[in-house]
Amino acid sequence: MQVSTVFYTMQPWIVYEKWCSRDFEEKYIAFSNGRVQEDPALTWLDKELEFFDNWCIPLAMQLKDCDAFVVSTDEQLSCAP
Amino acid sequence: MHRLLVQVVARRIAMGKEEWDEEPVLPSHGEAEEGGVPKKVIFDEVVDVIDLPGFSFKRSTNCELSYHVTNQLRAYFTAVAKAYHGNPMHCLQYASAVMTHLSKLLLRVGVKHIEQEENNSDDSCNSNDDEDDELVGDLAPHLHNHTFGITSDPLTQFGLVLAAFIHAVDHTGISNSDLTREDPELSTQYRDNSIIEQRSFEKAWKKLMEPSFYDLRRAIYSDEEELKRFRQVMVNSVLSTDVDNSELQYMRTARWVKALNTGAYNISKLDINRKVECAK
Repeated sequence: MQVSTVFYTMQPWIVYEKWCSRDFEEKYIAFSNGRVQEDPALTWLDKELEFFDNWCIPLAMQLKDCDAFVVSTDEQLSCAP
Repeated sequence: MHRLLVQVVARRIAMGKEEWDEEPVLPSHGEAEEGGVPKKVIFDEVVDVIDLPGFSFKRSTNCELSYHVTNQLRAYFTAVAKAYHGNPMHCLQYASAVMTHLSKLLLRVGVKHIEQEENNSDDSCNSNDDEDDELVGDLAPHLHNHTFGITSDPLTQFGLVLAAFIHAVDHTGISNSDLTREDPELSTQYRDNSIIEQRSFEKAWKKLMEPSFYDLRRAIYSDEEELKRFRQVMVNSVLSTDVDNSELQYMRTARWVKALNTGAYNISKLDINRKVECAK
């Protein structure tokens, strides 16, 4: 389930770009409307890198380790970084 | 979802279970205490271990869903789809993508390393039905054990995929911490934990329990035990999407290490987060 909610981080660049842009847009709209205090444009890159280092890559590695899936885990791990 | 629901029903028929005449019910939740803080919230229902049925190989019979069930399944998904807002990220398209990804992942569950003797016996198998049954019967226990029973329980798979679809219902486009600041009353209602996830689950569950989905519910679970399992799978799955709750995440990662005996690569980071939170 956790892997599925971040599916776009473990797929080819074009998929990541689409959903990452949407994520940014959603956060920027919330900031523009005064619902969020922090401007996502100032911290976006750092937060994305942190997200990959501490969440997506460990998750992809765990998925590979559990050895329950045929074929897909190598592909997901190679796409995650 | 239709395919999985057919499997749920077929499995039930194969196991000799019958549909209920009197609907099973669970103890009610969300009774308010003084001050408007609920006694028990969905967050409290998260458990470490979900009991799945033991292994018993029975070839499922072919079956079809009735017209009413198919219609209600379609109506339920339409209703949930309408409850999604037009956010750029947390929208219906995202929910569909997450659900599709999870369905595909479940279809890719398999055993890579089957013991040599079984491989040899596979080679000598012919393709008639009795021998196919034997082959599937040989592989099924491996898959069952390898996946802790998930592959042999269509109800769990149905619950997982449904949870993927409903996990961001009514998402308003801001995170839990921002939502707490924006709407303290709502936050109190869910005891300041996984607000978005609890609300999504609650709305989707409430919808499913409406009288107009009677036949659909009848197809999903046949007794209280199945109802409990179905709800538990959904609660655990939906709440697992709250990645900011380090306490829950620490529990999950520790459980992963215990169950699969493999490295949890983010546990040190979680440990740090947890200690920082405890220190606050």
